[in-house]
Order: sequence, then structure tokens, then C-alpha cells
Amino acid sequence: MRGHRYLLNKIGWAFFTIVFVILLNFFLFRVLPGDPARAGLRDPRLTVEAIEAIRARFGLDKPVINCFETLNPLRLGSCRVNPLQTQFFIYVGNLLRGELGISYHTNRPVAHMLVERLWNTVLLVGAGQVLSIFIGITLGIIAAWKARTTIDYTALVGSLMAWSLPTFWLGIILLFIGSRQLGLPIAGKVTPGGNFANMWEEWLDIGRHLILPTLTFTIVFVGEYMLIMRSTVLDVLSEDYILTAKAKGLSTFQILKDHALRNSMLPMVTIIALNLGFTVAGAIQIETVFSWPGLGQSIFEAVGRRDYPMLQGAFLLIAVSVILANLIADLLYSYLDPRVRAS
Amino acid sequence: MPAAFADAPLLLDVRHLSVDYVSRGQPAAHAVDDVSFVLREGEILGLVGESGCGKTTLMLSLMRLLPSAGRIVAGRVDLLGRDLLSLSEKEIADVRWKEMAMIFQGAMNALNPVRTIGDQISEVIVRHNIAGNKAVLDGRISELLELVGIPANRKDQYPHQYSGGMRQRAMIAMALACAPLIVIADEPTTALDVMIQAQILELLLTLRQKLGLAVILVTHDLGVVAEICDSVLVMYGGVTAEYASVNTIYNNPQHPYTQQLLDAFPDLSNPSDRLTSIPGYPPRLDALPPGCRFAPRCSVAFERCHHEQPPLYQLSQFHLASCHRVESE
Repeated sequence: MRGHRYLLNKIGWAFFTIVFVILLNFFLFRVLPGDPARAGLRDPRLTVEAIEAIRARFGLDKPVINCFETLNPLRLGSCRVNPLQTQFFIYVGNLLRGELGISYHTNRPVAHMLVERLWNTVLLVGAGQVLSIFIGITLGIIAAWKARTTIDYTALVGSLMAWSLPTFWLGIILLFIGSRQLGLPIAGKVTPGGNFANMWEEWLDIGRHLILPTLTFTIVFVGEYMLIMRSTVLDVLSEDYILTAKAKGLSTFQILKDHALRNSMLPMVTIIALNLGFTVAGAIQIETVFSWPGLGQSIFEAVGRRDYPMLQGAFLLIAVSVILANLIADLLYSYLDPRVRAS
Repeated sequence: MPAAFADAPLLLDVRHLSVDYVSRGQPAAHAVDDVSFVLREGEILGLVGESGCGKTTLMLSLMRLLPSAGRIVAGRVDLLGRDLLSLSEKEIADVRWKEMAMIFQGAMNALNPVRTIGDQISEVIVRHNIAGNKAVLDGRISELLELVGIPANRKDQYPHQYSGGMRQRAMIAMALACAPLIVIADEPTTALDVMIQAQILELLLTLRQKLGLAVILVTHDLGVVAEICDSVLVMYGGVTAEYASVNTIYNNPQHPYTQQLLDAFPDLSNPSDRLTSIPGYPPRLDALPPGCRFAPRCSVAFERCHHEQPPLYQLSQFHLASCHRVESE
């Protein structure tokens, strides 16, 4: 019963946060200057009718939420409009149908563009995160168990260096080494114009393209995970119940696996969830360096083109994924630590 | 040796045990220096002394559980004639808990907060291959919990769902899981109120009777010692101050430290007496005084005490004290 209340409470808060983000996200892009029609104004060949047509196409001819002649909602002024015909409610209505508007740049639905890019990013980020979490946690546990030995210091210095490397710089260096020494592809997701006999070969080609960006991603994140895991495990190893476990005659491996790991995973879960949420946004730097057609790259391009609907959609996607990742972390937390369920 | 235990089989024989703590760039701290004692079947030995006198270090070294800075520099620990100090890591791990279990102070932290009580008890039974199958294992856990007065249906609960006294009893149940010969109880009642404290001590006495358990009780509560112990080892600054039966310690203490320790304890038959305290602080283990370690705080110390460390004098068959004054008598 208590468990249910905890669950509902967390889900409720996630829902409210998403509603707030939708509001903020909508008005943020209405406050920013510029729209495609105004950009077109500089072109003398564009007729007034054409400009009006562009505005109508993107729904910019409608009032944002009302005419704002007065702030008193009871006296809406002369240009009273049907609230359902304002940009805000049209936006919310579209959102409920899963539509995120039309890109100023490509004239295609933003939702379609985001979904295409999302899978590429998930592929890259997923591979990188799984690798860096696995390696980082393993290294962290080993370093903590071998604290203040050569193994520990080597792992510590290595992780600090990896963590402090600028991502784009590391990407360029790996790109250079990987393409020259190992002959790996340097850009994109598949070889352009490639002709593949079967799906297996196509995936092999994608895999080869994935190696360098994934490696960059892993190196960037592994240091962070290792350092945090090391310090948490060190804390846990000084707890009394670890001494109890030793006194029980358990082996080093059993102590680490059954007593240290689960207790140390608590802070890790939070950090991993936060990172996962943010990296759905795409490792913008990595995708740009390696021309990986992911979300990050398209956000980077959309900023340059002032493609507001695209950015608005991407921001919403990022925010929702961060909120969901946090929700999952909260739920995992209550699974890992029975004390959370009780309070 | 108290008469009742002179014939009981000898379980543990600790001889001339010395433990140092070493850290780089600093002199070694002599936490335990040349301590000897024996433990027989069914005996309850009280280990008494101020904080920092080496009690816990001595107990941890018996199970070879010292932190990495701790070094056993001399001595023997014989358990049923087998020298524990010469065993390999793997062999000592088999001895731990199965033959010598430990109840730590503060059971809140000594139990893993994210695993159920039953799970933590079953872990050690499985480790030492006591129970053959799942049903036997479950039965054993229920039996253990009921032995210490915890309803068996609470085995799937977590430590935070137990009260302080229950946690300590669960810890005792866990200590008994492999039917050990010896249980080391390191201040098992420190964090508990007097009622629960009495319950826990009562439980230890019952278990001694039922299971023939030998107990080493580490404490600084002399009331507890008088109540349940058979023999007492008083430690000061890492050395044995006095070692005798509980009667001798209370009725005929010879070491000034023991005497002052007893004076510092409230006497219910003379409630109007003022409590006395021992002036000064215990010595730093890395900067010990050259003579008797208690000399700087001793009210009856004389010249010799300040530059010559007293040996352990045998006063009677089972009464040892390390004080120069004993010799001159």
C-alpha cells in the first residue's frame, strides 16, 4: 500500500513537471524574435499575399493566446477570439495527437524528423553508455578494493584525464588516428551509395561507422562513472556491515557482489539516469565531429537555421526524457533501497 | 581459573599476543602488547577497559579481521590446539563464524540495510554448508529467530523495520547460525536502554546454558561484568592490568587501575558515596610512558613505576596483576 502511494506520488510529480515544461517551452519560442515570414520580408519579390500565406501555413496568423489589449480576462477587448483558435491551444491540441508542428526549414513534420534522428542517437548513446557504465563501475570497484595501490592510482589518474579531455578534441584525435591507422570510416552512419547484399552486411557497415563515435563517448563518460563508483564503494567498504560480512567468512568477491555493489549503486543510479536523460539530446559535439545523423546534429543545425518548431520539438523531447529518466531512477531507488519505500 | 571451569575443555588459548598499527612516517602504535588469556567451554570472560585500551583490536585480531594498518607482531592464538595465526586466508575464512562468531556493537550498522534479516542469516549458513536444502535452511532461520525471541514471520523484514533491541537479538541469532564454539560480543548492549540490555544479557546466559557457548564479552560496564561473567581481563593501554575470576576482581582487586575503576562505579548499597573518577587520560598508544603505562595517573605510583614496566605477577592460581606494588607485598 505504501509502495503504491510512493509510485503514484512520483508519477504525479513527473506529470506536473511535463505540463510545466510544455507551457515554458511554448512561450519561450513565442518570445524569441523572428519567424519565416519576417525573414522573407527582406526579399522584395515576396508579395504581401505570399507573406500572409506563409504565416497562415505555420499558424502564425493567429493570436498567441489572446489579443492582450487588457490584462483583465473579463474584458478581453475588441478582438475577442475563440480561445481554441489561438496558437497555444492549437499547439496543445496537436501535441495530444502527437504532432509537433512543421519545420520552417524542411517543411516536413517535426515529429517525423525527430523520430528518424532519435533512433540514430539512441544507437550511439546506448552503445556508449552501456560500455562506459560497465567499464566505469568495474574499474571503480577494483580501484576501491585496491585503494592506495598502483592499480588504484593508475585507474584514478587515467579516469581524471579522460574526464577532463574536451570532447570535440578527443573526437578529432580519434577520428585522425582511426581513419589513418585503422582505415575506419570518418563520417555518417552508412557508406554513401553503398550496395549491400543483405541486412547483415548493412549492419556491419553501420557498426564500422559506430566504432569511433562510441569510443569517444565511452572515454568521455567512463572517467566520471569510475571516479564516483570508486568513492562510493570506498564509503561503503568502511561500513560496519562489511566487517560483519568479512567475519562471516565470505570471500572478497562475495563481499563486493552481495554487500558493497548494491549499496554503492544507489548514487550511481541517479547519475546514470541524469546522464541518460541528457544524452538523448545527443552527444551534440560527438555527432557534429563525426557527422553522425543524430538528434544532437539536427539540434545544432536547427539553431543555425532558426528552425523554431524543430528546436521546440527537440527541447520537449529532451525535457520529457530527462523527467522520465528521473522517474525511472526514483523507482529503481525504491527497489534497491527498502528504506526509501518506507519513508 | 574459577573452580567450575577448571575441568572444562580448553577452547581458546591466547599467548603473548601483540598487535601494532603501522602507518607510513609515524611510529608504530602498540595497541595490544603481550596479552595472554584462556577460554574454556561455557565460560563467559569479561574484557574490561577504557575506550582505546585495545579491547576491540584484541578481539578483531583473534579472527584476523584487523584493518589493513593492523599487524599481529607476536604471539599465538590456538583454537582447539590449532594456531589460527598460521592459517592461510582461505582456511581462516572457514573458521570465521563457524567456530568463532562476533556480535558487533551497534547492530544498526552491523547489518546490511538493504537486505532482509532472514537473507543475511541464510547467507552465512549457505557459506559454511550447514543446511542441505531450502526447507532445512528456512527451518533453521525460523528456529534461530525464535531462539532469540523474534517471531519467525519477521524474517523477511529489513533491519530498519526492527527496533534497536530486536536488531541486536537478530545479530545474536546470526552469530549462532553455524553453532559456533565461541561468540565474541563487542559491547553488545552499549546502545540499548537498561531493560533491553537486561534482556540481551539474560539471553546470553540462557544460550550459554542451552548450547554450552563460550562468550568473550567486551564492555566498559562493570555492572554487566559482575552480573554474568566468570572471569575478567582488565586491560589498560594495550597491556593486561589484571586477570582473575570475577570474585577476585570485585573482592580483592590488586592493580590500582582495577581498584579505581571499581571506585568509579556507582555502589547501590552505599548510595551516599560520591563517585570518584580517575584523573588524566589513557596513554597515546604511539607515545607510551617508559615505565608502567598507568603510572602517570596512578595515585600510589613510586619511583620505580615511572621507568620500569612491571611484569605480570602471579598472585594465586588464577590471579595475575601487573603492578610493582604487588611484588613488594
